[in-house]
Amino acid sequence: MKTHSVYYFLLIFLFAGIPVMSMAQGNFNAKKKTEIKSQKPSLNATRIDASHSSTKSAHTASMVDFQLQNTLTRNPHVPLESLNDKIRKIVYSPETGLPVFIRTLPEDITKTKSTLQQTTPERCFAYLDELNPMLKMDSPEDQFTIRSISTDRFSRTHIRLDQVYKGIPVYGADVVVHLNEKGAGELFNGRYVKVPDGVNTIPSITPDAAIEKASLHLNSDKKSIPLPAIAILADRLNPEVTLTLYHNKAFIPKFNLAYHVVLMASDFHRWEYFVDASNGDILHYFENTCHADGARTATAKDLNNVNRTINTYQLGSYYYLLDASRPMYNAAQSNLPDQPAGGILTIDMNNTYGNNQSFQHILSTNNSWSNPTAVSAHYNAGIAYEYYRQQYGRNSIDGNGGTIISIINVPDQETGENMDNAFWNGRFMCYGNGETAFKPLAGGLDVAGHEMTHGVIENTANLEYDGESGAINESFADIFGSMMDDEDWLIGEDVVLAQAFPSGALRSMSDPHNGGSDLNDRGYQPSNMNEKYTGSEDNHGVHINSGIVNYVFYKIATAIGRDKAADIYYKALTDYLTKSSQFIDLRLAVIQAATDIHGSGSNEVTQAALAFDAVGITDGQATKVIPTLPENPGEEYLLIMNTDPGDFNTLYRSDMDLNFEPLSATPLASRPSVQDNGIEAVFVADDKTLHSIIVSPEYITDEIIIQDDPIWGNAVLSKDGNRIGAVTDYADTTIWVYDYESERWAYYTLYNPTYLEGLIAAGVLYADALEFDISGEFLVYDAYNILRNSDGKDIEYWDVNFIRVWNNATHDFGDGTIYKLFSSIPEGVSIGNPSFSKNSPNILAFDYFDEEDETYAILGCNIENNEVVTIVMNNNLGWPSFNKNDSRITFTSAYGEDNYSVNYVNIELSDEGEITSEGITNNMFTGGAWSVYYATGIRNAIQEHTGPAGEHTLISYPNPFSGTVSLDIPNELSSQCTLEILNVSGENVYSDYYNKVNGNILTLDLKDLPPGYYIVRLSNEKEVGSGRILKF
Amino acid sequence: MRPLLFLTSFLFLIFFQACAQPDYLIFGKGGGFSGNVMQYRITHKGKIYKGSGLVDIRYTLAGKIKRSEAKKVFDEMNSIHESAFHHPGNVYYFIRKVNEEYTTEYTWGENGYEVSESIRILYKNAMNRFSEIHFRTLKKPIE
Repeated sequence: MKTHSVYYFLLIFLFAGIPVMSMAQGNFNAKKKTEIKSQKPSLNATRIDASHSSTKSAHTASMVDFQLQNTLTRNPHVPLESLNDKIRKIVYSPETGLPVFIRTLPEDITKTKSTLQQTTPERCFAYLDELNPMLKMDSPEDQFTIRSISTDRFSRTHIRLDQVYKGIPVYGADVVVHLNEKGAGELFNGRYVKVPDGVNTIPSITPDAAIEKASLHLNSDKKSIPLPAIAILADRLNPEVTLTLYHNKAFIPKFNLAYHVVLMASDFHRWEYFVDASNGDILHYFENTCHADGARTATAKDLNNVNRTINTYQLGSYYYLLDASRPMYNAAQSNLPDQPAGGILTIDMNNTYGNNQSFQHILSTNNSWSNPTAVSAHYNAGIAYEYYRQQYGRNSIDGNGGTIISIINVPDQETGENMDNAFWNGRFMCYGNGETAFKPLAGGLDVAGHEMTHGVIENTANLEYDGESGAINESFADIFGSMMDDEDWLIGEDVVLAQAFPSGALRSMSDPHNGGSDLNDRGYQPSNMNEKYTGSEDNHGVHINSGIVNYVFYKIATAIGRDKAADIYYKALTDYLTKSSQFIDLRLAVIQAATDIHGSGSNEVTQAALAFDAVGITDGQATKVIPTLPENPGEEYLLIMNTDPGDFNTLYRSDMDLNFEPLSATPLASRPSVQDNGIEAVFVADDKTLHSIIVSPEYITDEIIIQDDPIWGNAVLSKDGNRIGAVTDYADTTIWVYDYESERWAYYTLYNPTYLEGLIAAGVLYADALEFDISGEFLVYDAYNILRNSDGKDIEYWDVNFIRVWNNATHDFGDGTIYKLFSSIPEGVSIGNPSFSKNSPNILAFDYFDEEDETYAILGCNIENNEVVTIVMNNNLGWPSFNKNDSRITFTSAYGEDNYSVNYVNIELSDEGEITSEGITNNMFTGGAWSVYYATGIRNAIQEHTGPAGEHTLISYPNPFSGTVSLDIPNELSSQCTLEILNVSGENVYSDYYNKVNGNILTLDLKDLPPGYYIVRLSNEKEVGSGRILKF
Repeated sequence: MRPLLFLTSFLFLIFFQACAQPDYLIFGKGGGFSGNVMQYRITHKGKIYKGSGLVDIRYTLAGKIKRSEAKKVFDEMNSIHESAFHHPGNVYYFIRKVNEEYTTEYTWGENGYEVSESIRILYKNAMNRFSEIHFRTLKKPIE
C-alpha cells in the first residue's frame, strides 16, 4: 500500500480528468447492444451450430454435414438510424429466433406529406420495411402478400399477410400488421420463417397425382370409404389442392415444395395432407376436425402383464403416449405433439436403423393401448420422474422441467439386430428388445431408473465415464434404479434371460459376486478393493468396479434404512461429487452428506464410514481435482485503459511499481486481451475495427489493424496466440473464431442448452465479454438473455457460458457445444465479465449484480464443483483479472460521480480449488479502467517433477519439444502399460496401450498437439509413472 | 561393405514398416445398462471375427471379406494420422489399432466431444460392411 501511495500523484497526473462512463461499462445496462443487424459480416466462415450437433445419434449426422457446407455472403450492414428509439417491445420465437411480436411508438405521419398520400397496403409495407432490421427478411414486399384488410370500431386497421416464397405460400406462416387510427404502424405480430435460398419451387408431379396419393393413403388407413354422390354437397366434398412450401419440423428441419390436399372422408371428417411435389411422398397428414384436446388417462397391460394406469394426450382424433399431467408440464411453451415442454413422451423407433432410421409417435384412435413395450417405457418414465420429484423436489432430469423422452424398439444401429441393451444417450432413453441375454429392456423399472439417473448425474456431478469416476456413475444409476424398484437388491431381474444370467439378475447390490467366482462368470462384480479390476476394458471397469461401491450403499442402507441412505447419496451427488471424483472422494462426500443431514458423530455417519472401511475404501486425502500450471516466470505488468479524455494516450502499460508507459492513442471499445507469453494483445477500437498491439517491453511496440470491417464489439486472443474470438457490436447470437494457422473463420450460433430433443430454449440474444481458457478449446463468455415467465413478464438477465470452439485432438474448430456455468440464476441477478485464473484452469472470477438491492460484487467460482464465493463487494462492474500467481485480482470501481479507480483484492487459491479472499478493496490509482494483469515469460516444464511416493518419474527429452518427445521407461512399466497425456484442464488428449516398450524408450509423435503444457502418465496393473512436458 | 550396408538398411526399412502397421483392427461399441461390448476384429487377410463380452472378449463367430477389401480398410486407417481420442459416454464406440508393440484407441460417445469425421466415417463404413457378412460359429472361441 505504501508503494501505491508514493505514486499517487503520478497517477493523478496520468489519469486525472473526467472519464467516459460508457467506455468502461459501469453496469450491465451499459453492456447492452442496441443495434440489430439482419445478416452476418462478410467473412468467409464455416457455420457450426451445436444446438443440433450435440445430439449424437446417427440421424443428425447428415444435418451437421449439411450445415457445415453453409458459408456466408456479403453483408450490406445498413445502419439502423434511430429505429430502436421507437421500439417498445419485442418477443422472439424460441423456434426460429425471429420476432413474433413487435410494438413500436407510432410515427406522427401527419407531419409527413408523402406518408399521408400512401394507400393502406403501401403504409403496411413501409412499416414492414421499417421493422426489417429485426424481421430479417430480404424484402418484405416479395415475401408477404396481403390476404385481407379490416378496420375495427376504433378506426384501427388490421392487415393480414401470408408469407410467400417466390410466389408460393409458405404453409402456416402468416402475420398481421396493425395501423393506428391515423394510419401509422404500431404493431406487428404472427409467425413466419426464414426460407433458405435454393428451395425447389417447380413441382414434378401434378395436383391430381397428389390428390390420388392422399386418397390412397386415407383409404388404405381405413379412415375413409367411397363417398356417396350427394349432389348438394358435391362441391364441398371435392378435394382441395394448393401448392405450398411445407416447413418440415422433423429431426432434420427443411422446406419441401408440397401439395396441401384437403380431403373429406365419408364420415365428414376433414383430413389434410402434405404431399411432396417432387416425389409424391406423404410428408404429413392430420385430421382437422374439432375435438376436445387434452390430457387423458388409460389402463393397459405392460410387459410384465400388469395393468398400468398411464397418462396419455388427445390431439384431434388421436391419442399420443404423451404425459402432460405432471407439474412440470408447460402448455404455453408446448407445440404438440412434437415439442411438448415438460412432458413425458414415449416414441417408437420401430426397429429402423442406419440410413433408414425413423421415429414415430405411438398412436391410438380410442385411447386403448396394446403395445406392452410402449406401456412399460411410458409408465416407468413417469415413476422415475415422480421418484425424483417427490423424494428430492427435483424437477425432471435436468432439474428445469425438461421433457423426458423414451424411445422403444431401438435396434442395433449397425446391423438392425435386436439390441441386448438400453442406454441414456445424453438426450433420451433408448430401449432395445433384447436378443440372447435380455427380454425387452423397457420391462424393467430399475432399467428406466438407471438410465434416467445417468441423465440426473450428467446434470449434477457429471461424473466422467471412465475408471473410478465412471464406476461411481454406474453405481449411482444402479442405486437409484434400485430405489425405484425396491423389492430386492437385484438389478435387471425383470429383463434378463435365465440362460444368460443363472443368478436371475444382471447385477446384485447385496452380493456383487452374483453367484460367480471371477470375471469370467457373467454378472460377477468385485465386492472389495482387493478384487478391483485394473484392466482397460469397459472403460477401465465402469460396469465392473461399480460392484464395490454398490456394495457400500447396500451396507449403509441395511444399517440405517434404505431411504435414509438414498437421501445421503442424493446430497453427495448433487452437492459434493465432481466430474473426476474417485472412490475416496465418494467416501468423503457420503460422510460429509451424512454429517450435514444427521450431524457429526451420528450413527448414520458411523455406519457410512464402516461400510467404506469394509470394502477397503479407507480414510484418506481427497483427490486433488484442481490441476495447476507452473507460474509464468516473466516480469508482471498491468494493461490499463486511460479514461482521461484530456490525455490522448488511451492504453498504458504499468509495471508493479506503477511506472507507466503509453502504448496506444487509439480509443478502445473493449478490454484488451493478452496472450499467455505477454507479447501481443488484441482489442476493438471505438471505430469497431480489430486491433493487435505488441505490449511486451521486450519488443518494439507496434499496433496494426488486423480486421478492418467496422463491426466488432469485443475480441480476445487465445493463450497461445493462435486464435481470435470475437463478437460484433450489434445484437446477434453469433461468436466468431479465427484460426491464424489455417487462416479460416468459423462462427457459432449461440443457444441455451436444454435436454429437450428438437426444442431450443428461448432467450439468448447476444454475447459480450469473452476469454479463452488455457487449453484454447473453450471460450467463456457472458450472454444477454430475455425469457418470458408464466405470467407473461419478460425477464432480462446476463449469464455465463462456455462454448467449445476448438478441438485440440482434431486440430480443428470445435463443435460449438455450450455449457452453462449455472443452470439457473435467481430472478433479478445478472453475472458477466468472466475471467479465468492464471494457473488454475477451473477457477473463474466474474461480476455479479442483483437489481433488487442494486448490489455489485466480484464472485469466484470453482467450475469443477460450482462452489461460489464472494471475493469483494463493488459499486459497479469490475472486469476482474487475476495476477500471475493468482494471489490478487485487479478490478475497476466507480470513483466519485464520473470517475473510475483501478483496485485489487488479495486472494488465495488452495490446492483443492478453494478460493478465499481478504475481501478488502485496495486502491491502486484513479482515472483508469479495464486493468489486466499479464506476464512476459514462457511457462516452464518441470523436468524434476516427482509424483506421489512410489510413483516413478518419467524423464522426457527434449523438453520442451516441438514434434516428437522421448520418454525413458522404467523396467516395471515397460509392458502391458497405458499411456495417457493430459492437458492443463485435465482432459485426456492422447492415449495408447503398449504391449511391450522396446528398449525402454518410448518416442511419441505429438506434432498434432497444440503448444502447451501437458502431464504424461504411464501405468500398468502394478506401477505408475508420470512427468511433465512442454510443447512449443 | 557397401552392399551389406544397403541390405541392412533395406531390411531395417522392411522391419520398420512392418512394425508401423497394425496387425489387426478392432471396431466395436459397448456400454449402456448391460455394459456389454460387441466388437469385430479384422486382419490383413480379410478374416473378420465377431465377439462380445464385458471383460475378456471372446470371438465366437468368424467371417471373411476379400483381401483387397481388408487392405482398403487398413489403408484408410493408416491414412488417418490422429492422436488417440478417449471420450466414452454411456454408450461408446471405438476403433483400435493393435500390433505387438502398441494399441492406439479412438473412443467416443461423451456428449460434447466429437471424434473426427474421418474416424466416424471409417467406423460407419466398416460396420456397414460387417453387417453384410455371413458369420459361422467357431468350434473353439478365440481371445
